[in-house]
Amino acid sequence: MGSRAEPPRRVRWRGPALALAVGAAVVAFFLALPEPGEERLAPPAPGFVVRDVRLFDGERMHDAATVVMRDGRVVEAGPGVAAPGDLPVIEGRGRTLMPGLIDAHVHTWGDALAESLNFGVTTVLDMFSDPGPHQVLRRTREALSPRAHADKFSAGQLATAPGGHGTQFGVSVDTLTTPAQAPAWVDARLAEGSDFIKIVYEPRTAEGLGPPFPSIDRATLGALVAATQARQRLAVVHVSRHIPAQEALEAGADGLVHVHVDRVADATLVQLARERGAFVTPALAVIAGFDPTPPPAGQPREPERLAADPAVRPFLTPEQRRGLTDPPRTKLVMFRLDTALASVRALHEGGVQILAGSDAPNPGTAHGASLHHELELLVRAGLTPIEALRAATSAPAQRFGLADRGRIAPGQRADLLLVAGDPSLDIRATRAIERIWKNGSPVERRRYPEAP
Amino acid sequence: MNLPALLWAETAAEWRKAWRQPAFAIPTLVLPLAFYGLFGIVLARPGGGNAAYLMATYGVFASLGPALFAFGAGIAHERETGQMALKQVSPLPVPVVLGAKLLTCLGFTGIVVLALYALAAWGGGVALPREAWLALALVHALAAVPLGLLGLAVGLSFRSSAAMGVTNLLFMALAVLGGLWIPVFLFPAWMQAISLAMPTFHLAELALAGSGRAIAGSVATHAAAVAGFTLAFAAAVALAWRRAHR
Repeated sequence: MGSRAEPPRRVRWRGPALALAVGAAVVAFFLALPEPGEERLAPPAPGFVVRDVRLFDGERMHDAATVVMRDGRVVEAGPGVAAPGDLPVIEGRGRTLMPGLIDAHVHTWGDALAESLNFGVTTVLDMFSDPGPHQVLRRTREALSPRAHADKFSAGQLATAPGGHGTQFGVSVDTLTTPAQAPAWVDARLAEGSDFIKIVYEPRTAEGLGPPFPSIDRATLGALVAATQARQRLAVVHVSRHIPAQEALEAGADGLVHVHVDRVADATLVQLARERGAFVTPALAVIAGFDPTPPPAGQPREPERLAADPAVRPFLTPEQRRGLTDPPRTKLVMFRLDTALASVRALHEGGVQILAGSDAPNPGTAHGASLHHELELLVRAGLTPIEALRAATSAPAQRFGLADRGRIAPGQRADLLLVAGDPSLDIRATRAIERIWKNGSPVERRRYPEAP
Repeated sequence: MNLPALLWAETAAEWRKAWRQPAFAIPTLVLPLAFYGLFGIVLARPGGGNAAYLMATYGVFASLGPALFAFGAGIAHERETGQMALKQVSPLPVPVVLGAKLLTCLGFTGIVVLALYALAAWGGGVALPREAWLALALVHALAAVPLGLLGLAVGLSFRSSAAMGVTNLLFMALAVLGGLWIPVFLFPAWMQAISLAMPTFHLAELALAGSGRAIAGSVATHAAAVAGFTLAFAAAVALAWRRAHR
């Protein structure tokens, strides 16, 4: 044995000395490891100017505006603003500068936030996903450092009954069944980092008709809404049918995150939503994705048409292309785009605030791209293009309390989109993206080659 | 020589031997770091928020390599080439031989795990509370015990060529089905059922809990499962030891 050749005298001091040195190095290493709050964040981009551009500021259009960005924020915006000499200037003539889009209904995992940003969606409202990644991302969300992904505000886990909607996706869900559990349930979500609360309400009718899975009851819904609002957070509700939608509004829900699909919204529902000041995020894109009605001969299905759009297609990942073009595997006979469009028309005309959300990445939808589809569908439902743009910028920012997003004004985060043409004339111009900025830093758009 | 000095000398010899075997050192040191670098950092699109999750599970993967390859394939090789017999005829207590191997294994695990933390912290932007870093290190280091015992059982039960095959198979199964590369919740239900039988799955869940993540089961259940696996593997080692030296 080699060790026997070594004099024992050496062994006696070398061992402990080495152990001590290694131990000290390990302790020093652990002390150097970063703790939350010690993340290394790059400084914000210095700034730039967009000159002589058509400006949608989140509320209305302005012609021939100049917008000045510094250190990740907008510092000046409007017609008659002079460009400072020290910043690079981008000529905006013939183009429209608008706030980065906000998708008010998504579910994120994997590459979702990068895919969203690739289409100019700079902020998403996540209506249910694993709270783990969210806890990490929300720590640096307010920073103005350059980022290659959209920011996320999230419900985290959703409120549903054991075996109810939301439990089928593999993400572990803390379920509940009684009103008494509601306050602790809401507290647990807020401790997990949820920014707002999402509740699934899919009860059966008195005759026992309805979805083939359980739901929380009306009393539990009411208790959840009350507990959430008592903690100064928003309570939003997933419904798919008219009567539950009405009951959710009566319970005081801040918003419905789907338009119901079983029949067209009647005057009672519209009036209730308006009087309660609730918003509706119809997520028409996902209804179009599930609609089993065959399109007219020779016409593509709605999501296929989006995937074929030359302004959209090169920027879709191969998986996103498949998600849009594959026929849905689940047959949901209730999902009729025409019915949903008629309901949105009724709600909008009745004065109910509409938010734009895609429900990506459900079948027939793709992160980022489907919000542009949603804008087109909202215009088809009777919103003006400007109203549709508000539904994807200032309106969700205002409803969800996102203070520095959704508008272009001094102090706002420089999440921006420069598009060719004028989306107030043709809403599909939002897809003709020329540049994207996140926190005032340019975003390199990713193109994906066609499969051979 | 007293016992600690013997153990020190034997460990030093084992340590030197391990470093001189690229077949052991390279896969155990480089593989976890390269995989984490690839899947946790390079191929991860921004905004996934998974760098800390993957660090927790890849840390178990990092302790899997030394444990299985040092003990599994390594011991079978030493038995076949007569090195083990030589040690047994020398006046060296058996616990010292195995203890030196375990310490070497822990040393390797320590190096890989610390390198992984450095890569995750300064390459992947992972920031955790100090107690979470320590909890992770505890789980990742202690993972070497059940996994080392499993490797030992394999090394004592199979001939060298067979042991290499079995070790590789176990290595893959424990990594994949344990959810060390891909989260178990993405598996179909039948694969998730198999995952429950993997000690690495329970170790990974403990690591995730240590890192501050909410896990589906309770820490006590997973800890009990790990303890159960440790006992079972220890029994298998005792049995294999008797059979191998009858």
